Amino acid sequence: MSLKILFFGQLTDITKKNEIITPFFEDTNTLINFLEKEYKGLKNAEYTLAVNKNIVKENKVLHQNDEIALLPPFSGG
Amino acid sequence: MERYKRQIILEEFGEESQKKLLNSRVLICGAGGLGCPALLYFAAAGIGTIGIADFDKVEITNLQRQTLYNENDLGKLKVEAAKENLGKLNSNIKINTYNTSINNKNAVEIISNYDIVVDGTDNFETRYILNDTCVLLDKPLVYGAVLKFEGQVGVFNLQTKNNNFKTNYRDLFHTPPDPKKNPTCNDAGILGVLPGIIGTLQATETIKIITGIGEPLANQILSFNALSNSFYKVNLAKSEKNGVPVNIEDFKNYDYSLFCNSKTNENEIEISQFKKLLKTEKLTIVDIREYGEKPDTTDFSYKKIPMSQLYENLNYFICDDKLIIFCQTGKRSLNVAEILKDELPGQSIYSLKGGIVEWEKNKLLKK
Repeated sequence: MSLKILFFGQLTDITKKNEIITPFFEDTNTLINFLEKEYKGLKNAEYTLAVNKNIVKENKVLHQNDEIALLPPFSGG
Repeated sequence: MERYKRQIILEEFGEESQKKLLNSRVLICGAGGLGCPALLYFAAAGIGTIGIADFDKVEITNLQRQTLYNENDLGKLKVEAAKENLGKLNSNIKINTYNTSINNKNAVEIISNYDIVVDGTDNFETRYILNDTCVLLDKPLVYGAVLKFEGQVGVFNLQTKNNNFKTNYRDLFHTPPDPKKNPTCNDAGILGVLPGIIGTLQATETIKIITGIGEPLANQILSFNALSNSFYKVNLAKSEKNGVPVNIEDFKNYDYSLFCNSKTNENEIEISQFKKLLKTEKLTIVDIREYGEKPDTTDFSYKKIPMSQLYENLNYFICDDKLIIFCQTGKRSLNVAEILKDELPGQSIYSLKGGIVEWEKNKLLKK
C-alpha cells in the first residue's frame, strides 16, 4: 500500500525531489503531517493539494496508489 | 485577408474565425515576460483591438525574455515601445495603451471595454484584482504565471459545452499567498524561454475562446516543467464561498494591499538603519541565498547558510548579537527571520529590507 506524491515549483527547493512514494495514509491531513515531518520547510510553505488531478480544499480520504500533487502559487510574469 | 491565409485555409478555422478575431477586443495586463509573446501573436493573428496595461519602462534585464523590445527601446515606457513595435508587425489593428498599474479604482472602467482579459502580471495583488473584476463583469480571464523553469496556464470564468460551471483564481487559492514565501522572477530567476512558452499558450487559449475551436482550459490549470518536459493538468472545483466581493461597490472599497500582505513588517530593518548599526554594534549577518547567487559583497562580513539547509543549521543562527538576515530582494530573508523568531525565541532577528539589491543601489546613489 503506497501513495505517489508530486512536488511543484519552489516546493522542490525544500524536498529536492519532484516525486516520491510514501507509505499509505488514510487521508490528506495525516499525509501532510507525515510530509511536514519529513521535509520541515513544508510547514512554512503555501500550496494547494490535488488528489488524482482534482484540486481538493478539505481533508480527503485516500485510496491505494492515489497520486497527490502539492501545487504552490506562482506569481512571476 | 491575404496575410491571414495560412490560418484561414485550416478547415476548422476558415474565414469565419478570422472575422471573429478581427472583431475581438483583448486586454493584456502586464507587457512583460508573458505579455510580450502573447502580444506578438495577437497582433500577427489579427486580433482587431488590443489593450495593453503596464506602468514599467524597458530595462536591460528585460531583454533576456521580453522579446517584443530591443535595445533601442531601453528607457521607453513599455506601453509605448509595445505599441510602436506591434504597429510595424500589423498596421491594420487598433492598439490602446494604459500607462498605469491596474487597481480596484480603475479596473472596472478599463476592463469593461474588452471581451477577454489576459493576465501577464507579476504579483498576487494585481492577480486578485484582475480575477475579481473579471468575475464581477463576467469576462473570461486567461491566467498565466512562471517561476524559474516552471509555469502555469488556465482559463477562468468561462463556461463551455463540456463545463456548466465557472471557476476562478480564488478556487485555486482562496486567500492570497504570502509574497515573502513565494519568490518573484526578480528574486528566484527565470529561464528566458519559459514565459515565452507560457505566454504563447495563453495566446493560444485566447484565440480558441474567441473562435470557439477546440477545448479551452476552462476550470483547469496546466503546469509545464521545462527541465523534465512534463505537462500536468489538474481540475478546479467551484468553492461554495470563494470571497470574491459581492458587487462592484464592495470591490472598489476592498483593501487589496492589506489583503495581499503587501505592506511592511516589524521584522524588517531599513538599509539606513543597518548602516548605522554596522558602525555602532557587533552584528551577526547571514546570507541565506543559495550557493552561486550573485552579487557577493565585501562591504561587511557575513556567514552563508542557504535557506534550503535552514533547519539542519539552526544552531549556527544562535548568537548574542543582533542577527541580520539578507537575501536578494528581502523576501526570502523576511520569511527566514519569521521562522527563526519562532525557532529561537528571545533572539533579536531582522531581515534586511530590499536585500543586497537595495544595498548595492544605495551604494551607487552615494557615489
